[in-house]
Amino acid sequence: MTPPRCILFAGVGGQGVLSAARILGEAAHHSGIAVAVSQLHGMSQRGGAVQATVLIGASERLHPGGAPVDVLVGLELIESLRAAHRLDKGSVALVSRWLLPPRGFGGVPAPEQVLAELRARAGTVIEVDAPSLADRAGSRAAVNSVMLGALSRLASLPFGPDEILAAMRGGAGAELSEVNRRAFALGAQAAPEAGDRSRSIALPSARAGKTRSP
Amino acid sequence: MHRLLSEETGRRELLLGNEAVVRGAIEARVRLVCGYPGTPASEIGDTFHELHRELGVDFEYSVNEKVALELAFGAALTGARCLVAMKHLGLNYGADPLSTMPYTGVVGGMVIVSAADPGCLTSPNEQDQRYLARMLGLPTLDPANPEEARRMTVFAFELSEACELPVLLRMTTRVCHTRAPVELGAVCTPRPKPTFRRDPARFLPTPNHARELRERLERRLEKAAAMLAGSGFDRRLRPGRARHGILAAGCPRNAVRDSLSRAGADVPLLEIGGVHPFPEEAMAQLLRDSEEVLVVEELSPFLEDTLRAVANQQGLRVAIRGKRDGAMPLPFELEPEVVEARLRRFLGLADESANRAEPLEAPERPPVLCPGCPHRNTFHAATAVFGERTVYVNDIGCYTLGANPPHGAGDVLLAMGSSLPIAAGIARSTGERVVAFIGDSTFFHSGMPALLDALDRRDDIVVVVMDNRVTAMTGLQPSPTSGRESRIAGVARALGAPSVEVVKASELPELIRAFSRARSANHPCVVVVEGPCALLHARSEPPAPPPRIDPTRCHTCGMIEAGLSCGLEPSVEVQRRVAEQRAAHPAPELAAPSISPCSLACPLGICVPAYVGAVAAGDPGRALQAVTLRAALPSVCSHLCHRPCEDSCVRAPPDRPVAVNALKRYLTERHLSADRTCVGAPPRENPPATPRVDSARTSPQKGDEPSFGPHGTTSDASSRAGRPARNGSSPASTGVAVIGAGPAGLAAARELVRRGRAATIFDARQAAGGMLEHAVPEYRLPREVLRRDVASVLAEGVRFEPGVCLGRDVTLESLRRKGFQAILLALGAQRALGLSIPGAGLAGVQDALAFLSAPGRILGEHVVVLGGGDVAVDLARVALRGGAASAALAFPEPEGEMAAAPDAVAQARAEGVRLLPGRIAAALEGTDAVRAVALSRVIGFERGGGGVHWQRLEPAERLAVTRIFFAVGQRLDIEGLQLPSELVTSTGWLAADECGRTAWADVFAAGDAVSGPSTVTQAMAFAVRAAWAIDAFLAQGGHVSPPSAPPLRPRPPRRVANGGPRGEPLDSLAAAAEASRCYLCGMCGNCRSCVELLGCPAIARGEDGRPRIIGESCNACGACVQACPSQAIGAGA
Repeated sequence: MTPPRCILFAGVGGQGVLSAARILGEAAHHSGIAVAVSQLHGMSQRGGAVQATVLIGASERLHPGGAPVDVLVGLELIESLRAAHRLDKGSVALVSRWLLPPRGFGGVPAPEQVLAELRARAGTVIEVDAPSLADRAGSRAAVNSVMLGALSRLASLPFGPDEILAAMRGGAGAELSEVNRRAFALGAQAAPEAGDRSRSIALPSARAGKTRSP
Repeated sequence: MHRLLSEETGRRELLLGNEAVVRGAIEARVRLVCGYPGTPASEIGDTFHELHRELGVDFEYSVNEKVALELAFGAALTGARCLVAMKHLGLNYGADPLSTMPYTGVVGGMVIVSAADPGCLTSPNEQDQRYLARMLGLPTLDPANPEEARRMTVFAFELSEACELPVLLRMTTRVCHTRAPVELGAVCTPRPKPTFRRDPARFLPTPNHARELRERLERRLEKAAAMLAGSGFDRRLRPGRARHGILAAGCPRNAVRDSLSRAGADVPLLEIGGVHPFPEEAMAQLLRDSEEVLVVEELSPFLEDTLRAVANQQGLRVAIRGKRDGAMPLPFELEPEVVEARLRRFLGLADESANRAEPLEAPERPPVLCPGCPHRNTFHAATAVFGERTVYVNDIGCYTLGANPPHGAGDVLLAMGSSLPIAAGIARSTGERVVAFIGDSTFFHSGMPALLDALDRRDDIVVVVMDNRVTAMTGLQPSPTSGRESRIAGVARALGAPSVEVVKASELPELIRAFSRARSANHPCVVVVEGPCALLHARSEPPAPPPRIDPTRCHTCGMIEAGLSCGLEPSVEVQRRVAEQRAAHPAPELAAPSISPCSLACPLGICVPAYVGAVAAGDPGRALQAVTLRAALPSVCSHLCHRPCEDSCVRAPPDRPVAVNALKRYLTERHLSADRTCVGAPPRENPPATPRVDSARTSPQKGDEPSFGPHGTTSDASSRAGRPARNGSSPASTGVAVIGAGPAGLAAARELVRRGRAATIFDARQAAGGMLEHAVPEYRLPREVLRRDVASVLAEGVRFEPGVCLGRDVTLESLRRKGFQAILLALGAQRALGLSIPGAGLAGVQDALAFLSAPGRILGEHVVVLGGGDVAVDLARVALRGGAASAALAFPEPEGEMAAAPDAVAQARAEGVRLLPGRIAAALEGTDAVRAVALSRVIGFERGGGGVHWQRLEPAERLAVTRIFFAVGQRLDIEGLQLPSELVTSTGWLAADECGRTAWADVFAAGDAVSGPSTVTQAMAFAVRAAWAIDAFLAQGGHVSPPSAPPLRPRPPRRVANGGPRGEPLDSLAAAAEASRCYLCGMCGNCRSCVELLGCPAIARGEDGRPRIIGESCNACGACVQACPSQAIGAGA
């Protein structure tokens, strides 16, 4: 059995880590692919570190475990660094150039230091200036939409941007906000320029009827 | 339509485990849902809260779990189906009623969801409720994934009704918070209308009924076991015998199935979803089929031990592996890789697990109170008032985060509502006031009985109830104060609280004042702090612009601008004291001047708030650092300073100024050791930091560009530790020659050494100290104090050559020839002026200084001192101490205008010195020795001709005397010094500017020899300025003409005093109390109170050390505007 593909979202509480992971999970689910989205929260609204994992093509497991991930979607640089040990040469790190210094007075690494660390570990590192793009789209809160847009173009996910957009819309009849739509598009535009080196993610032949399409 | 309400049976939705439970309950037609929010179970209640109207379900967030369980039980007695949701700990709270429910049993299905937290992700423990379930007699289901959670929920209702028992659905965090596909099932047929049917033998478990019910419980559990066996939740896979068998239960079943299929291992596997009653027969069969069984379960070896009991009962000898023998890890969640590795080891397969990379070092990001949380102020204020020595007991909620830095307001945490009784217990046994924090929801959950108890016992506690109108931590569920008038203060008053204050969290000063009042009360105090959760309105209001920091006020200190930083990072405790003072004294005149008036008044530029604040904070070491950085002779200062600081204190009359000098004396007498280190300070967790100043800001690059004035002082002070002073290696005859070892010479030499210059002091006398040594009376300055200060100056590397007299042993030229690059003349004014009146040559007429330097026999004599200055007063008092029969002062001024310090005059008068104001000696009478003095009355004066001409009457008084002292002034003793005329003024003083520069570039002069008689502090300050000038001169290579004068000018003294209080120095308690009176005026260049005290996540310390506001995190709550002690933060534009 092919092991599930693991996409790790890392960020700071309030950045929309959990909703980004959920949207990706919904996109997989509506594409008929088995999926499990593991989100450990509780402190997420208190500005703490938040991670969520999407296991696409999940077999039985719910727990993402600690093995290297296929894709790290880092919404913030220090949180990307915290997750960097989950990267190996088969991993793609898709990171937002946004550094939110933790409160207090500890040494905060420079963005370039973080990126160098990620480059040393991941096969491919793709930077996205997500905060600027989100601002351009109309709200800093749309950073997660930017990153989903970038992710949608990153590699051969078993579903395309349309499925992700549909999941963002949240169901038939619902409207996607203009800000999020723009943010997604800007993210998708930004990614290919940097994303050429990314390896393609080979997913298990997941459409094999294990799950039912909506 | 909400997707959980879909009637499309068979449709698959991606649902959280908690949502799957909701769907299961909907399919079972649940009628009443209640519970108390608690991660990881909160979404169950939240979803019903959202949907209950549409569903027609009776829903409530109950006040606590016990109430919820009892409410549901009541409904279940009528046949209604009920669901109660809580986290694992909530089950303990409801365990009392729950323990009897299995005896009475229920009629309608009653399902209790209790979510465990393996790994303690959001809980203080990871208690395994399976033991509780077995103890109470609750059938228990343990789902492995969301789909199973839905099916088990539906089944649990059926099981509960069939065996008349409440059923526990024990979830774990992983299942609760994973989204996975769930197949929607059909909603069951409508249920009969609930009615209550009397059955006292069942519902009244009085002892006579209880015995029968006890037996009935066993029959119910037997029935439950049978139903579970047929439920399909316990599954035996791969029947038949094999060497290895596996028993897996709960959530790890996923990882076991996954690992076995990846390993291609086909072994007997018993999966258990119904953990109580356990499937005894299936377990026995697994034992019979295997030689060795591995038990995989989370938290405790619950089923492992059960399996051993089954083996024992069945007489089966099978090796049972698991947590007991280390085959599986004991605590925490089982990660799939761990399960796989342990399974492979058990099965004898090669270990394929990859080496895990260690996490990289990344700055910690602990959860913090949200930006804009109103209760950041509550912790800021509480810690400012109660300080770090108070014990804080915290409780369960967002405010637990107050225990994190920077507030550290949480020493103990236990369970819901525990803070009050724990605080009371600590207070009763220590006798100290303890602070208990509790939130609104927790207060009603279980704080009320605790408050009643504490009030009845008058416990010495301060109860801080933070009312944010919501149960915030678990996701903004309503609390008993949501959307209505808060009843907390009313409850506290009704319970009999003697003091209940209600304060708005947004009013920081009022909050601090309320806590101050609570601190000083001697009965239990309740402070209700109202501030609605910032998340409640965060999304509804348009974002306001973030506040702006005014760089001219933030991190700015006028002292630093003058290069006179205290050199100290202010301690958190000092910053807290500042916060409390600002709240207590919000008067506009205290609006944070850049320099406190007392520091500005101090000739030496000592930062008074820095050390007074440190004394108030109980940190004498830090205080001494601030004092000794500026004062070369700190003990001398504490005895002799004229105290302009106190004169300038904003606590002016009718209030009493802060006794700054007494505090300095407390420090030097109680804590200053000979080597300038602090002794006898209370132990501290963090030793005071060494002086540190951002050298880039305060110190120009010496050598590159000529600099002048005070700059660089502090950076040099900090460099002392790391770099030996230049004089350490240079020959003694280079550097600076200082002539005169009085206070000016000592202060200048020490300053030069601290700036890396070599300094050698020459003095004609054998002992250093100058006038301090030979003219100031012992009672004003004990010589031991002087010698201690002198020794520590010399210990810093100042050379002292005694017995060397200028003009006799050395000259300016000879010093130059010896290689001294600069010479400082600190000669003092040591020659007393005489009076040209008849009889001045009689025996018994003496100059005051000569007598003070070597007091002769004076027993029984009648003494008159001519003069009204400090020396005159000193002399009169010395004369009385020496046994004089009488001592009087005659001086021309009115009494209130005497030159001497008023307090010394008052003391002299108290000692018996007679004052004769408005008199001038006209003649001294006698043959050989003086016998009388003729005094004229002064009737006026006019200025002119460089002096004062007193208009006087003819002599009207004759006083019989045996001794007359002249104390009418001093002058420089210039004879024999061989000084060139251009260095001397026409009136006989040395000619120098206020920085000591003379007509000769390499010769400097400072102290009384230039300024005329002044105070010891002024003389030292003058000398320090001269040292700066010399340093600047030497930095320019010793041949560039000095630049223009620096801005710092000597301030004319306004004499308040000529010495500190006599008697014993203050003790530490009295010192702290006095220091606490200080308003700690002024802005602080090292202040970081917004970062260190307020702890807002939207404020960070930039690379330059200054705070900056992170616009995207800030929600413009304005807390920092109020909290900034420098009033540097203002509303955004």
